[in-house]
Amino acid sequence: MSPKTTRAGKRHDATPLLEWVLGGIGVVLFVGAIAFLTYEEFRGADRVSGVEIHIDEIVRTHDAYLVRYRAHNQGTQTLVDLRIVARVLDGTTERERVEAGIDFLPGESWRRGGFYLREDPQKYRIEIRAGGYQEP
Amino acid sequence: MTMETWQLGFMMDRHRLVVLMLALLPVLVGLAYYSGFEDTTHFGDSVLDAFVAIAVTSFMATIVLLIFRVIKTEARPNEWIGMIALQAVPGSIGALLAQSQFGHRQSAQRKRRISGDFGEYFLMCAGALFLAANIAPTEEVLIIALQMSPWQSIVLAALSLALMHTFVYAAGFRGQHERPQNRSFAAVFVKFSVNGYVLALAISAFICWTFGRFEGLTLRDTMQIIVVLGFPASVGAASARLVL
Repeated sequence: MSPKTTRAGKRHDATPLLEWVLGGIGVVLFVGAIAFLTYEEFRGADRVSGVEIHIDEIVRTHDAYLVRYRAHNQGTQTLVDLRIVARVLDGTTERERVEAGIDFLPGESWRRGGFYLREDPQKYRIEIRAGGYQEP
Repeated sequence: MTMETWQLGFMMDRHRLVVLMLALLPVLVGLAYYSGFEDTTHFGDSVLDAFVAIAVTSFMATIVLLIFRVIKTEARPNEWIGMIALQAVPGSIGALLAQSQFGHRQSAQRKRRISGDFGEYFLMCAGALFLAANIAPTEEVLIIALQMSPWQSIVLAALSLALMHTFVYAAGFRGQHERPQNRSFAAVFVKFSVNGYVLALAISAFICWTFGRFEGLTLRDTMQIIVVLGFPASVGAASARLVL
């Protein structure tokens, strides 16, 4: 960037246009981020709610059935070390149970994961639910 | 770019992130004044340079986080705005500090500004903030603090203080300061090294608070975390005096 003269009258003439543009973008980003984060803060304290789990697809692999799911955190609080439990049920009898984990699930966000099952989940009923989590 | 840094971006309390960003602005303006992109002669130029640093850092942080696939297309604004805002804290300080290392030589006027006591203390705070903000998010700070005994904390504090003084006055690094002839060792040690260490500890405490590192801890553990983070912060403070 070019040096500026010490004479105040010519100071701004020596400031390149690019610097004004970048400075303006910086102001917008800074003020925008502060405003958004403040809005988020006043929107309410971290709210814990349920985790909704959707099965996206079931894929047959060479030795298992891969159940790909999407876990959606409906609260605003980040869930740490979220445990997801999948059960394959034949009526009320549990034929298989596997667990998986999601390190971090931010509030109102979703993450994908998968279970490898021995039993064909399409022959039975599959139940997937959140098991537990830690607060950050 | 540690994993903890971007996780904190969406996990930390929003009001603390806002406080951190608001505290960053005067630091950036001050850095631009003392060692920024160019020989700023007016306050307005320093403010402009500070916002240029924020814009450049935010842009680079976004690009890098997208390349690393840390920011995903499905992420909510709350997630990625927090991540980028947090990356911008050390990043924008680094952008301004880089000028002192890679840019042109400092003008005589700027040297005079820095040589004032306020300038020295300010630069020490900026250096401490730069390293503390980079290191505080890591789990290691908490783990080290929890496994140390109080005696070890005292030794670490003494070591930090000794390193700080050695860095600036004895190690022979480029930019080393000479002890003024009319001042005793004790006077210089207290004025810059002890005061600088106190500032580094204060910066460490502030950063730990913003990241929620004190939650659920005893007073002893809280103090030990400050001392542990104060170690790199004091090195940052001393380095700032050398490089700027």
